[in-house]
Amino acid sequence: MLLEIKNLKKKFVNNTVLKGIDLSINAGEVVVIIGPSGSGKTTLLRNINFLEQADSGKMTFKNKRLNLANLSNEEILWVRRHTAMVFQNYNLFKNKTAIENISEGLIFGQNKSKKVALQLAKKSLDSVGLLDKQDFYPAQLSGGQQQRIGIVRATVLNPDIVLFDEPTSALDPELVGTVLYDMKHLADQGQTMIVVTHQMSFARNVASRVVFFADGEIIETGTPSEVFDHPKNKRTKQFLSAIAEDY
Amino acid sequence: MFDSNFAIQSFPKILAVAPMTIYLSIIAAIIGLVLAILIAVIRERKVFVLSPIVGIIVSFIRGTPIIVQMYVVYYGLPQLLIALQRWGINTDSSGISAIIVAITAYSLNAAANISESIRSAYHSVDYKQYEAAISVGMTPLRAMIRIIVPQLIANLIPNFSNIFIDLIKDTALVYNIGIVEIMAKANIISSVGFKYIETYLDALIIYIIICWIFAKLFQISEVIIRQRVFATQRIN
Amino acid sequence: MKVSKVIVTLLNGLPETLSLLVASFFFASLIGLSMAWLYLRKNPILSDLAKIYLGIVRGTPPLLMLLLSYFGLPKLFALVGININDWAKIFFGIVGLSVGWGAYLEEAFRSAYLSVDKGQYEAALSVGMDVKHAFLQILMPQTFLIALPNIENLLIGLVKATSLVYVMGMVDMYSKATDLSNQNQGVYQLEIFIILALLYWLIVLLIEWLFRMFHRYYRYVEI
Repeated sequence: MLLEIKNLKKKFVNNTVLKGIDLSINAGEVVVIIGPSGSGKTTLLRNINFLEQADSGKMTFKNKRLNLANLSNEEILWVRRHTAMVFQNYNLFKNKTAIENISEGLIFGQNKSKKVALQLAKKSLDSVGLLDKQDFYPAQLSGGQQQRIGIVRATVLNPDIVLFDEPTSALDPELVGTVLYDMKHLADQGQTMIVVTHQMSFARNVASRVVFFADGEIIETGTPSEVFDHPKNKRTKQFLSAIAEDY
Repeated sequence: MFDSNFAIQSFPKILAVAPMTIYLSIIAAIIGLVLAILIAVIRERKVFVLSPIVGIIVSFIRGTPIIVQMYVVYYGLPQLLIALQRWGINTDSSGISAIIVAITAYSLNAAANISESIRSAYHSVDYKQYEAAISVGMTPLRAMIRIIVPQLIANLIPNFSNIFIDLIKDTALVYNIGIVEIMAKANIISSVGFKYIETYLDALIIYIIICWIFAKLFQISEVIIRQRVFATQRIN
Repeated sequence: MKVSKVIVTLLNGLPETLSLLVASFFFASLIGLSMAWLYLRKNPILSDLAKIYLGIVRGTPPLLMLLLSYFGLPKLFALVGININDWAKIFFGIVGLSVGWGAYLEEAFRSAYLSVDKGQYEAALSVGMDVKHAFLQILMPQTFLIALPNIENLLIGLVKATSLVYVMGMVDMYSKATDLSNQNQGVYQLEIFIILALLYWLIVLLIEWLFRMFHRYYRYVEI
């Protein structure tokens, strides 16, 4: 088991967003979380690398046991340095070029020398065919290019898990394909991923496990075929039939 | 050390001339606003020859200290009037009062600053608003007056407020040409017994109160205008 | 009187004007940065202090700020037994202008910092940067770029405000001009002040040009 979350709870003011989540992921798995907007999917993801802090719960990551209600700065940094995140709005550093965006984490997160970091960044940028964009600032790139660089920025760190937070939601429809292609390629290479998305075709074709999430709870989990073709829970069925035309 | 009795006695005397400070600022702001609208229109419509000339004058005024501008007007205005007389225009250069000099200098200064604010407020109105107005059949002038200008005014107020407050503070320099306002009075009273700090603190308090009141007035008017224009308040 | 003689005389005051400008801007930035930091600490007492400071400075004519520094500081220091009456006048000029401009710079820094996209900070944390590096590499440069137009305006305002140190008898460009105009018994006064104005304008145009160059260098950084 690479990551195990036990009874994670999170409240915003007086609104409970996560009502005791249990989730475990093996190395090499691609877990896709689907569900209605505002159900807490993104919050769950942000609790895994502590961009938000849970109220209570336990987490075991790489055999290290963590108390989510009481984390030290070292623990937070350690988890962040073994995970990476791809954001809905890309969040490429606006004051850094494409290649600097990628090298930044290697230099300041993994203490690599600038030279080595830039070499690695160059290589990984080349592997997705964006090397000609290395000196461009984010504002000079299309949304699709920005997000693909966002993925490279995450994977170049060689993380144990990559967290995808609705990576294609902000993209124009014609640009979604290239980003999903990069993600599928990553999955094929055995990268462990947790993906929050509304792209049902991606969930169906790439996921090793699909989690249906609603109202801050995991309602149903199983293989793509189990969840999509034979949903057991009434709410899963409702959700799937409501979005039927989308997939 | 610090003569608080003197400070308290001096306070009403200095306060008594505060209307001069306010009067100068308001007159300069009004004349400046009228000129600024003219300048903004000339520059936005890129009027032939006039636009670049006005642009240079605005840059010049914004790039020089107000006290220098005041002296340029102080020494230049009489000469200008004499020159006009020679051209046959009947002017009397002997009767120029310090007030006229101050109002001329401060109005020009305000005009330059306000014109820039009007232009940036104009640019911050979404151009699509104008297109939408035209598309429902308004004439360009009507679209301007009914749709663009109200939004422009709402955007302009915060900057206009800052410029006006700067005007109030800048009038502290007109004592140099013999006008008795807050700063002048503070200087006059303190020079008697060389008790400067007492009267300067009085002046400080008066300035802070005046600036605070006007800043509040502008804030309130912004809220009212935003409610009327957008039916909403700006969220700060 | 020759124009060149006027220019040379006025330029004699330039070093005083420039040293006043540079020193005041440096200390004002220092005040601005530390006040902004205090303000953002979310300590109610500290941020109230910063608010009061800003409120007072907003309503104070720079001239009065200089006078209070010149006449008030010696009295304040005398209270603790230090005699600063003989200190160089430029000291009082720098204090007056830095205290005045520090408040405005504080506001510029703080509002710029608050308008940096929060996602930028999160992204920095997500690639494993610690809080310090996320601040130094991502937040601070972006804050600075956002604040730049305001910083430019404030610097230009400060150039103009240096002319006010005549009240404490400092010999800057402006004082040179008034001296010259008094020596000439009222002749060529207009010319002297027009030349003085042009010199100030030149300094301001130079500053605007420098900021434009800087901005052009970062034209692809859209924040």
